[in-house]
Amino acid sequence: MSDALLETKDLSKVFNIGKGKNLKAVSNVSLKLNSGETLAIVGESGCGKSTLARLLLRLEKATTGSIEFDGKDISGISGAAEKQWRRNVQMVFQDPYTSLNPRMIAHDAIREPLDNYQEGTKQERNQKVHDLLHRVGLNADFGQRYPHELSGGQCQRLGIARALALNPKVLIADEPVSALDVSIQAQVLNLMTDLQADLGISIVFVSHDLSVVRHISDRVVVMYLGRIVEEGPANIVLDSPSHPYTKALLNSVPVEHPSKRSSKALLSGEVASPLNPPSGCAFRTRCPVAAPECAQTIPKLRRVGPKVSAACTLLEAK
Amino acid sequence: MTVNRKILEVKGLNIRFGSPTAAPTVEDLSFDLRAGETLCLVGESGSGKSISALSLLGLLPESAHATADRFTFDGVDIDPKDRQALKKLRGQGVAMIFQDPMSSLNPAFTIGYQMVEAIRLAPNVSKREAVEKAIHYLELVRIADAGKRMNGYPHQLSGGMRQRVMIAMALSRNPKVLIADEPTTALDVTIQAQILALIDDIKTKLGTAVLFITHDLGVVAETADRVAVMYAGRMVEAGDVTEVFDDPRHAYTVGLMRASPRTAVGQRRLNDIPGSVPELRDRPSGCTFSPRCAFAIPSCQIPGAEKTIQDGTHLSRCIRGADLAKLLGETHV
Repeated sequence: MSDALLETKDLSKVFNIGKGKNLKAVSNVSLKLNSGETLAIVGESGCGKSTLARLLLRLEKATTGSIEFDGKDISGISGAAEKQWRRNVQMVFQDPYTSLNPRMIAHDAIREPLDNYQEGTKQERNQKVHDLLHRVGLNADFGQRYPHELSGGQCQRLGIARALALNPKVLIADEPVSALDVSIQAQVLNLMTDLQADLGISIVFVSHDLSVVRHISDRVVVMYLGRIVEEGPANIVLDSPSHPYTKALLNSVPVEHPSKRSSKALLSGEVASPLNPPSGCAFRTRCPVAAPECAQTIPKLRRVGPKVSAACTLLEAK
Repeated sequence: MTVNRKILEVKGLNIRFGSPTAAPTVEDLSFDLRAGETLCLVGESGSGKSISALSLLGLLPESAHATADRFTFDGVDIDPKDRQALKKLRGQGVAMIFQDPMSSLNPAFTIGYQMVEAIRLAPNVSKREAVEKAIHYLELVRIADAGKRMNGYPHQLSGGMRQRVMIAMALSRNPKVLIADEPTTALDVTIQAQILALIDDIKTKLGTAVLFITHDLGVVAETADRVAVMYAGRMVEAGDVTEVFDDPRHAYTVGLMRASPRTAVGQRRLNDIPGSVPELRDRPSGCTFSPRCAFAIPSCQIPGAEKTIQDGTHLSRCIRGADLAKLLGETHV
């Protein structure tokens, strides 16, 4: 688990929203996804985590910066080369219903990517669909059902089977379990854990749910207003966070037992507008320990502990 | 905690859709709600928790038939079929906030207009009084610049702010009961914490009874005084929040707790619950959870196995409830 499979360097995305205004959704993000690992991207709505996921999939073109896959820069590829590259990176969506074609039975939905890439003979493709259904824990007769005849958990299994059809190396999952009930959420997370163990795929797991992230990911990237504020192994970052924002985020998570209730120091206010971000550190307007110097410069991500990096002016570099 | 006045008493509530003889969607639901306490109704989709809340407000569709052995509000008997009586309760007696504040607010009118409209449903309130009252309640839910916000439209507010407006609107007629249906599910965790603290604060300050509907046991642990767990139309367990968390007496409650990633620290796989909630027409006899239950024995499926067992304030519909702690210990070792 050392070679970077997917790596971004100084990746930024600026949306022009008209009237000469620009929205910086993702700013200078450099991250690595190693082979066989699960990297979680966490943060509140508007922090840029979904845009980052879409950049990794090349569903959005980066404004500046580069993306490397398996050591090769893929920022500029197009046409047939892009189509061939796409089979390596597949997506699992948040809403399992709206991400499936309501007029396509499960079998055809899984077969569509195989048809698109003309994988094998028709018979081989049908066999592969059959294997994939089994792989994600759906009976063969589910193949004849339409999405509306499936439950949320079953739809998400179908979405995963479809994403796996082309044997991708990377799965990008944007909030894949947040629309599911707890008992079903556990089933789908277990499925993803099993698939990773069996197939050795890498997963980028975008989520706002820190307990889910703590469970499933090896490493975690915490984002705030388009920038990475903390990055490191999931157990270290989520058990002993360094950045004040990560601390506040963890502090907001509901307790697991009523006896652990406490009057917590709540984070006041809301995420600042990305159209008009505060000067210096974007979090300083909500930060409980903000100091005058925080308004001066945008803090850079730097080592603050073993394996952990954070972007905070007040933290000692190590 | 002192025992407060009972505001709402529900006994044997059944809700059927289609015909009065159809299989009940919600079956034999009983609970009390006291002033100044939060009762959390927790369950997964399809458990009947939202339908039950809507029935208290008379907001069920025409096709629904609600019956109850006993339904009292502040000591007065009410017929759950009497929509006129329930309508009178709405607003001043019972108010409700919903999951998605954007679809509960009218996008074409200002916050102030909508607040004043709600307040002036009460007789003899002048417009000026209503405006003052609206500002007062917006301040109560800690909206900065309340006077200025009155002229704003819902789309100009963030999700958290909209939910604050909904709460202000719900409180503006001094309801004795506030029903909150997943009010924080659509919000970020930092904003969720703010809204939970706000609802808690209101409960303490105004003595409002809160019926809080959620699917998240973390929210229950954070905010409930008492909890009722629902599964497939039945309340399967109820009790004081500490009682239920310390000593769950229904296998479904145990399953929900164990399915959370937080209880699986260090485990590669989560303890999922196999299968899914049964459809109304496929509900098994006896305990509806038995087909998914790790501890089920043949007698769980015999009609009668779903009967409520009471131990002090702790209720459960699980014939193995008393042995669960022991059974769990065995599976761990």
